Amino acid sequence: MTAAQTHAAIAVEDLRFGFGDQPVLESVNFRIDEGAFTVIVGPNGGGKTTLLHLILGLYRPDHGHVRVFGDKPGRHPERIGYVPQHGNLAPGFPATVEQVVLMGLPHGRRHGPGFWRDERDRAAEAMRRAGVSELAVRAYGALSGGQRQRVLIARALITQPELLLLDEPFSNIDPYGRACIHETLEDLGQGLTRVMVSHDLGITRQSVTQVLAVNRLVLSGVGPGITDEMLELMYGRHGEQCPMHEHLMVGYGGRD
Amino acid sequence: MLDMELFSHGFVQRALIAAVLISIAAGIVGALVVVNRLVFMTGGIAHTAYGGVGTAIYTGWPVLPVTGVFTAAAALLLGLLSLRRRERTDTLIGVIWAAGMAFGLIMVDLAPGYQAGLMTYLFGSILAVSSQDLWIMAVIDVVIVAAAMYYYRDILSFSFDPVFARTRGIPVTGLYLMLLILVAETVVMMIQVVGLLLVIALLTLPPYLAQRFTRTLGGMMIASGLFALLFSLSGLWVSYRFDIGSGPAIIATASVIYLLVVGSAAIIGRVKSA
Repeated sequence: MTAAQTHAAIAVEDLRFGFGDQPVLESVNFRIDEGAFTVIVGPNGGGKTTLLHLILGLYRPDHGHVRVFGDKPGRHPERIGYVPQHGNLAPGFPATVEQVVLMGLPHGRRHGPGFWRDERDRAAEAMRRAGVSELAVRAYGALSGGQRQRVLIARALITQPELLLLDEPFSNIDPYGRACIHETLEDLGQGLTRVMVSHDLGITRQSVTQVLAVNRLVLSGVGPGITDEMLELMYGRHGEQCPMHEHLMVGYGGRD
Repeated sequence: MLDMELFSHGFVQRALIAAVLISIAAGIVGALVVVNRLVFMTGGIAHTAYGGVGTAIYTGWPVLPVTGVFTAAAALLLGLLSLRRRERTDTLIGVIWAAGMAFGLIMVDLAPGYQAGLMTYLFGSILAVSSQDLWIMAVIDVVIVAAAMYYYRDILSFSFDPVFARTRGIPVTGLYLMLLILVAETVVMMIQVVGLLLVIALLTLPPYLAQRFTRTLGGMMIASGLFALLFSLSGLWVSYRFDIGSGPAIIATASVIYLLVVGSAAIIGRVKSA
């Protein structure tokens, strides 16, 4: 408990990472406080998902450190909930919604084909929080994109994590589904540290406390606003006459 | 129709037991192959098994144990290579597929004497299964069932979303390699029954059908096992009735049943929506 109070949820120092000779992230330094709602924005291929995977411990940095709750990534699966992009998962996979949610439990000493009473209770609670209780016995493959995304959020919530990492939860989801997911995320509320990757700058909202702009380098800013430097990092320099400039400034409430 | 005297023959009894034993393995492993999209990988492993058969024929050692060890080693090698060069996996499979097969054919060519038994391993002959083979098959079944039950949760999570499974601390690489070895042993026990060329059919048709009727991975395993058994038994009967090879008869029967089920489902769907 004391460790959680004295450390940032996530601290990244002097990070460098690449695939082969291809640098993906360079000289990355930032810190995410506990309870923050951080949005990671940037162009496709800029390194957003890679950064998330480094925080999860799926990759090791080539240089520098990533600390999660003051420890190496991957040490505390039960304290971290991860919501990947739903579109990557196999359609038609034979699993009910409840089973998908149960897959969020960390690897432990329990084995065998069934799930235990207490585990199913935890799954029920996670489904309630994510608003998918009524879907419990449905086949996962038969759900809409928005429903699937909320089931994956429930899967991440089953351990009652302190940190929730979401990778583009709004991609390929219709406006109604987006609104539902937004509501779910807002309701999860206080105390939970949320880090959300998005390539849509429009999602930055009042409740957002920090923005990370990622395009090989990372810029960190306080509050939901996106600064000129961030826009330049992500999309290059656009003159005043460029329609792109106006679009970015007006459409997304830039210039913080 | 069937006359009861048929069942008094030892080879018929052994064939029926073999059908049950391969159905158990085919149901569990076939479901995992299909949901993990390892059909092509399984094809590669199946054809390297022929290298094992060739080695056994050349050395004169018993076929099932030699092929079992050979194929498991090949599956492990293929698995490790595919992890290192993920983007090259399909090419690697193609290379090992061809090399294993060629190696087997060369070994058979070099083996002294005329090899009448060769066709057995290409097209299968369930009627030639020995009691010793049945014991080996039973042991493989026990291993597969035990592994699938003990690791069920991990296998479920890894099959659904391997990246997420790693974030839960599940040993995904180990499970993947274990799955490939189970595939190898399933292939080996099926080679004698349906033959190398038809192994893939018996590992994919039952799970494809089962997937239509089940909502859980465990249910899919059981249902595909039952479909595999239905196919094997009806195929055996067709083989006996029309005096054709058992391997092709089993797969032909499976294909016909598959088409009937899928076709009637499509027609029912049309009628319902009309």
